[in-house]
Amino acid sequence: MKLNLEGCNMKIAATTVLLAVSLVLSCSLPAATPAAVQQGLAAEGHSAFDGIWRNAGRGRRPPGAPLENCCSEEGWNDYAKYLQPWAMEVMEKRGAALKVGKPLATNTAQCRPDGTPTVIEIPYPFQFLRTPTYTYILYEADYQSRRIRMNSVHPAKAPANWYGDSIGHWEGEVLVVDTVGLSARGQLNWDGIPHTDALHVVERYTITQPGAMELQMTVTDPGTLVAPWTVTKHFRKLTESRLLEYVCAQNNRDMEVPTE
Amino acid sequence: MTMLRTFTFLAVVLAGAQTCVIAADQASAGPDLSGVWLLDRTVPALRSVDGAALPFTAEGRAAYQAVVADRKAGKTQDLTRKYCLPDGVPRLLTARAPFEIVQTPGQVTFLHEARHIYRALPVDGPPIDPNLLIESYMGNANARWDGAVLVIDSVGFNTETWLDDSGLQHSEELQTTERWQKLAGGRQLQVDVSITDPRYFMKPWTTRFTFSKRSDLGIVEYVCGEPHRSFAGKGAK
Repeated sequence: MKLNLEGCNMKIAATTVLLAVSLVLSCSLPAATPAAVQQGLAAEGHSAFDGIWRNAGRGRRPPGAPLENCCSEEGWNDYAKYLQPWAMEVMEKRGAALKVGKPLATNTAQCRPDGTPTVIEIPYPFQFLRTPTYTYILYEADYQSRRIRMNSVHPAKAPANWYGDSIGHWEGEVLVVDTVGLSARGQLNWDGIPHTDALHVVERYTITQPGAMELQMTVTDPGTLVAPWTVTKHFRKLTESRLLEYVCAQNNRDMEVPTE
Repeated sequence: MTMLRTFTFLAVVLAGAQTCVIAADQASAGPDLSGVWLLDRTVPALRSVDGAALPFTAEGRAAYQAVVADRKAGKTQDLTRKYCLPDGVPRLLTARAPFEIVQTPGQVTFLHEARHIYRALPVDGPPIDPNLLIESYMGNANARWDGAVLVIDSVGFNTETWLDDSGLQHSEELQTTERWQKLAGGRQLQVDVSITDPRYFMKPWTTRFTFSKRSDLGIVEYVCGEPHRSFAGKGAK
């Protein structure tokens, strides 16, 4: 939301410098609070996050291949290094079922919410909306969205739901999102890695070059992981100006839900 | 500075500020509709704002009567609710759950709590690319400002949705135009929704809903098939 000062300038020219200063101050009043502007919208680099992005898939980047041509995902591979035995067992069961062509359903496959952090790696477009108090992320996949309170703190009693309680702040040009309050019904990723409701997710989004964004995400969950696990994901900005409709249940009519 | 000069100075400053506020509104393309809003009155069935009967064509009347009769007889159901599908326009606006309007440069976004539907609407953007026009539950929409009124034009709906909870039907020819404006000094929002569907209605007709600002409410997570908070009978009025 930028103020159009063009109309003001003519008046400014005709009056005193003092008046000009007063006028500019007056003009600024309808805008957001100065502190919020300083921390958020005023920083030019942050507008680089505007627009529609996409994680192009699960493929791994061939050694040496440039990032912008690939959108690779790094991480989620070192099960043995990070998973506690019970979680390792879950993933081995999944692996065995997949091998015999009978994959165990994930939340995504059942049109349950992807939730945080699985929604982040869905290979469909998403969009950041920036306001002084909130950053929103709209995901094309099944009308999912996240609401991130900027420069805030988590409540004493966090929820236990699918998207959790997200707070965010800017570290220079890096958007940092911190999420707790995630139900153990959720999964860490598309592969269905389990987690407990003590999961803590920290996302760090950085524009690495025009049209290219990197996410470094660290998940901490002492009940599931032996150590914090950091994965890196890359996203490309799309030329599309709008998200399209994606309705999971449209093709999943056996997923009947109880009447409200 | 004499009293007169002081007064003149203030008057000019205020006039300048006023001009700038208007300029700001134009630059950010319209008044600030942002915030959380809740429907004032339940809408069991749409009514025309002019009080007249809905101008059904014979086909439109038959389609509606068939659904009403089949529901009574248990031969059909409200599949939108049964499968938690998007409501479409204008049924989405009759939900008894709040929605939030977010305004960012070039876009107005409606985030509805009910069934977590959002509408991300480009404002004064390029016309919809026919190659990208997909038949969809929520339609393909563009927004624009007509003075202080936010106008949303939608086309390209599929025929899976009902226009209201009573089962009012529409054809693939449905087009809607919503005109959103603030009332009561910004405490209320009114929308007039014009329904154009030459196959089912002889002429366009308009229905109206009002919403009250609810700064005390936030939008909470809504997951189909899980318990939700209910606002039935808890509106502003």
